[in-house]
Amino acid sequence: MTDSDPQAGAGGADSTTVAVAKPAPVIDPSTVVAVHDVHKHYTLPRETLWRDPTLVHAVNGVTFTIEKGGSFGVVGESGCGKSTLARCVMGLETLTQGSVEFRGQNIHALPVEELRQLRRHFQMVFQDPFGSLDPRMKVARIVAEPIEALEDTKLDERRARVIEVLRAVGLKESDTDKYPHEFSGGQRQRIAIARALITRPALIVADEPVSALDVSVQAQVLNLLQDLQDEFGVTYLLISHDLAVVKFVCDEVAVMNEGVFVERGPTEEIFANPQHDYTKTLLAAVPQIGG
Amino acid sequence: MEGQPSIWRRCLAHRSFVAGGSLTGVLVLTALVSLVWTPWNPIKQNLRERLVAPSWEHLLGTDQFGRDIFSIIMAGAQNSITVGVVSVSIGMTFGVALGLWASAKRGWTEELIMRASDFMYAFPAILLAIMLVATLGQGAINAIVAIGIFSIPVFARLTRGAANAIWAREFILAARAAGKGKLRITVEHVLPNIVSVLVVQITIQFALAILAEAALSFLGLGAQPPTPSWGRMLDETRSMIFINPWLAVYPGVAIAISVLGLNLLGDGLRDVIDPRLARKR
Repeated sequence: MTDSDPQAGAGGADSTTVAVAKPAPVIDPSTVVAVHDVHKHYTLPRETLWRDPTLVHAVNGVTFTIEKGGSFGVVGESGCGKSTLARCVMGLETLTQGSVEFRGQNIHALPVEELRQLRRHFQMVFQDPFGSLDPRMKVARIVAEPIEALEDTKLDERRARVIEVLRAVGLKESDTDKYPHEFSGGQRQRIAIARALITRPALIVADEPVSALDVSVQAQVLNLLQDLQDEFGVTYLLISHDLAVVKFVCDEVAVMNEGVFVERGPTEEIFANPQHDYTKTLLAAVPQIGG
Repeated sequence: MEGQPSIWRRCLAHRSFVAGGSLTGVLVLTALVSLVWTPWNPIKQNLRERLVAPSWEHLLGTDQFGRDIFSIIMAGAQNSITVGVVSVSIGMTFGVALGLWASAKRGWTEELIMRASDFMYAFPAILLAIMLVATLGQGAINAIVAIGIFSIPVFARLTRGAANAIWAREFILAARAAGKGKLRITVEHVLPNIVSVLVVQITIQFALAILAEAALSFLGLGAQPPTPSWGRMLDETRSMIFINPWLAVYPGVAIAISVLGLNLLGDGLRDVIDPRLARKR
């Protein structure tokens, strides 16, 4: 696959990987995030001096928008570029091509300081609840990280907000003085969600938020994500390899393979009537309990 | 990690830590006591009592100038500790700063800093110290500075390596997503997470600094008379080695015990601290 041909692999899906030259779409005020033709290529270290270094096309022309209050799911097997896509949307990676507009502002074109300030409106929940929390910080500090970095909040007000948000995710006030290792995986992910929630962001990007958790805990965390959406009106971009997770949370879903969306549409439609071969394979690969 | 015994418990259960800690404790205590009291004045010469054999009056006897050896050894601990503290502080401050900078910046900055420190590292430490003292002029302060400078690349390398491992962790990405800048991440996340690695290195560098100072003083490039210094004692008693070999043994044993104590302490600390780090990764 070459990068001049972004439609390769798009197959018969209702094509979301539109032509490269097309200008960015006009932003509807209800659109929270508009991702337009995003490419991300990595250069691997040279293996020999005589050949050009290998390019990895992690994301190869992805376009989508998420409306306010919506939840957009991206599914695909590991290595299909979905985590890279999440980091691109978060502005944690530089793009090879394309743009990510958050409420009409191209975040990759913003000066560093302005992007930093804008970050309070979009936060992220990571896959590994054991890795995404600094083991040397107490919960109160971890959860307060975004307001500490982005706002000039007084200490007692900061503490009040930490407690408020911890309660919202089902943790206790007494948890503020504990270290992350004193919690179980599910509780840690709640801490991570609390941190993402504390600035009252418009968008939360959740990269495999439950895949590191036990199945019983997964349901709790997913329910929490939905409750928080009802309560705070957050918009989600949810990345997962697990079809059940996406089906449970998202109202719109895109199937990603080899850096492109092969199919995209309302969740029920995709699950009921998959068009693309890859989606069918993916759905068929889900183990059925009880035959 | 639940249910692990506290860090103090684990320290006390570790033999190297206990042995090293005790020896280092003795060293520090000796230096502190010598500030206010020594059996005899370690500087005052008494030509009528030269080369006196050990007795209750002079526990380790006297040297060729009639000075009480036990008192000089005690006072010499001050010198060793001062050299250790100051030179390790110099090396650590600059080394850690450079290492953190290299790790935060990456790219050309990192290459430049690390290749420069490789360049310094390639020189044998003592040779480098001798070279520096030769250029700066001999004396206790220059010796300390020289020893400090040669420990900069050690700390720079260690810090860069440990910091790079931290930068790759997911909580750093989370901190960036939370809106923290590189400086803030370095201070709030990277540094606290590499402190344990640094503590181990500090004790080891401390031992090396004591050894290096003794070597420089032995060569006459370190502490100048009459400041009591173990290295210079070795040098001064060198000519007496066939008349009274014990004179050279005492400072040698003092140096050996201090270095051994600090190394054991470092090993103990590493064992106590590192497995926990390894499990976290």
